[in-house]
Amino acid sequence: MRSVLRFLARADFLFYLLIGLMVLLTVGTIAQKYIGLYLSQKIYFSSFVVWLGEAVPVPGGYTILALIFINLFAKLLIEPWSVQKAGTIIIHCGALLLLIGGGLTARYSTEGAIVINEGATSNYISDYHARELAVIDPTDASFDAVTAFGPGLMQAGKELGHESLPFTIRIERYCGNCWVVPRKEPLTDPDTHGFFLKNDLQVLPPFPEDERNRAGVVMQVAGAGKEADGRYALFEDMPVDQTITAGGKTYILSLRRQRTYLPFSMTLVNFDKQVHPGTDTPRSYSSEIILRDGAIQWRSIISMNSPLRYKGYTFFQSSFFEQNGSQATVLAAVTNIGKIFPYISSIIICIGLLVHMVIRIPQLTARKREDA
Amino acid sequence: MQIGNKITHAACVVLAGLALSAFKQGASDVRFYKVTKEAPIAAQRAAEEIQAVGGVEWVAPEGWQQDTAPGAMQLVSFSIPETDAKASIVVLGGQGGGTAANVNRWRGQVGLPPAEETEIMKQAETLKGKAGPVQWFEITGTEKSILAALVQDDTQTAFVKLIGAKGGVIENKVRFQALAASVRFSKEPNKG
Repeated sequence: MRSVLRFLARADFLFYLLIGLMVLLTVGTIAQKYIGLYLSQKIYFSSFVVWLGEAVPVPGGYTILALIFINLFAKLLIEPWSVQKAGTIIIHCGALLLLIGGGLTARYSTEGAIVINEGATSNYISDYHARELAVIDPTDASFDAVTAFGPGLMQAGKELGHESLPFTIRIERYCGNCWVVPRKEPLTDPDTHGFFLKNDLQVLPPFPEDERNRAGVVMQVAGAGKEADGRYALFEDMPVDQTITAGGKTYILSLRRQRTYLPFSMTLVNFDKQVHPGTDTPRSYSSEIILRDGAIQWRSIISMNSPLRYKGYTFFQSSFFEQNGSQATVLAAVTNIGKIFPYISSIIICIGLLVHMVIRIPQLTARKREDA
Repeated sequence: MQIGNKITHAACVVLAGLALSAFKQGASDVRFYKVTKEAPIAAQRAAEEIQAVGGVEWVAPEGWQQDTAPGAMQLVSFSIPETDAKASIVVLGGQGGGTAANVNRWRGQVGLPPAEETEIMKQAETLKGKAGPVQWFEITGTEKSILAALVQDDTQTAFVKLIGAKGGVIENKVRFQALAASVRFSKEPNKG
């Protein structure tokens, strides 16, 4: 056991890992120019393996950082504690905390946007990248029962089902970016339904800016009854709802950006846009909102350098759009439980360096005296 | 030495626990939940409680109390709890005497001398209102302050004014802006 730990804690192991990390950072940064920030981050940094030319696997960001963590951790385990090494141990703990914070951020942080029309209220965040297939049962007068299948299931061949639904869905085709192409002749196949009868989905290469991509899915529904079983297609943000009637209920199908519901709601009272004189270029913009959380409610203004922080969420003024004479604000919503770790670990590392320096001073002065 | 090693090992266990929790599997990919039905935007706007008198609409700020007997010429007036500040809306035909003349009148009310029109217009600020751009002024005297906004259309001007001791006026600046932004002229005069 001790020999394994000694091997894992080797300094040359860390040396090669750091070189690997530097290479990955350089390649990933250059790749951003060509494939966009999101894809580059996903391929090089938020991955365990990076495939070179789809043939040679090399360690991705997660693997390298995990190995660095193991190396530092093993070093901490085998290093006997002594006052002389107190500084080094503190520095190692600080570095390990930094890596743990990175892990927490990678696993649990969320980024999305909340879009609110002027005068309207919203209580959910739409993810920037992840899509979900939502099956909505609107039967009840006061609420919608939603069964949402997450991004991990949006792949050809996946079978989707849940106890809340009387039917199952099998994904036939899923495309991250596609476009609707009208069919020259509508399909007459009785097993094809809705929008897919007159339209097909054409797969397009993904845009580097992920927010421009429009996902699409072709799927096979089974168990809904003879009339409703068959093929359906959905397109992200399609204006007409696709429905399935099964078990006496009508369900709405929707392919959309994954939603996270907030424990409070926000109403946009007023959106204010200041433009540079004589142009349409915005100089600054701000959103006056009313935040309602149970019986509590208050007004707040979110502007470009003044975010709103509430219950672990941070809302930044991100963008806006104008449509049919009314305005809507786009607020970036971020949660990150690992955000405090870099601050704590930096302080710990600084303390470690100071302790190390203080411990070393007597030795250094003694050596100087010997030299003299 | 032994105590030191124990401390080190305890620290290692804590770090390992934190690391494991960081990489723990996330939530399931299938979620089932109930959400309150989304009201159509028009209905949500109706819930703002738009009030209207004499062809002018506004949304009263939360916490402000509407006076049962507004002053002469005032369409509506509000008292603001825990301050001496008062807000009002007055509607006059045309430009209501002009921006500069009105601003100088307000300056007089807070103990400031009249200013040149060019100087006054430099201090004008704009906010986006339901009726279009709304010009507004912040006039601060030694003890009192006034916030005043002018909402105009082709034939009339609505003056939205908040006056009171400096502290109370500053505290209610955002609510005042919301009130001024909410004012607009109904196409069909309201008989209420």
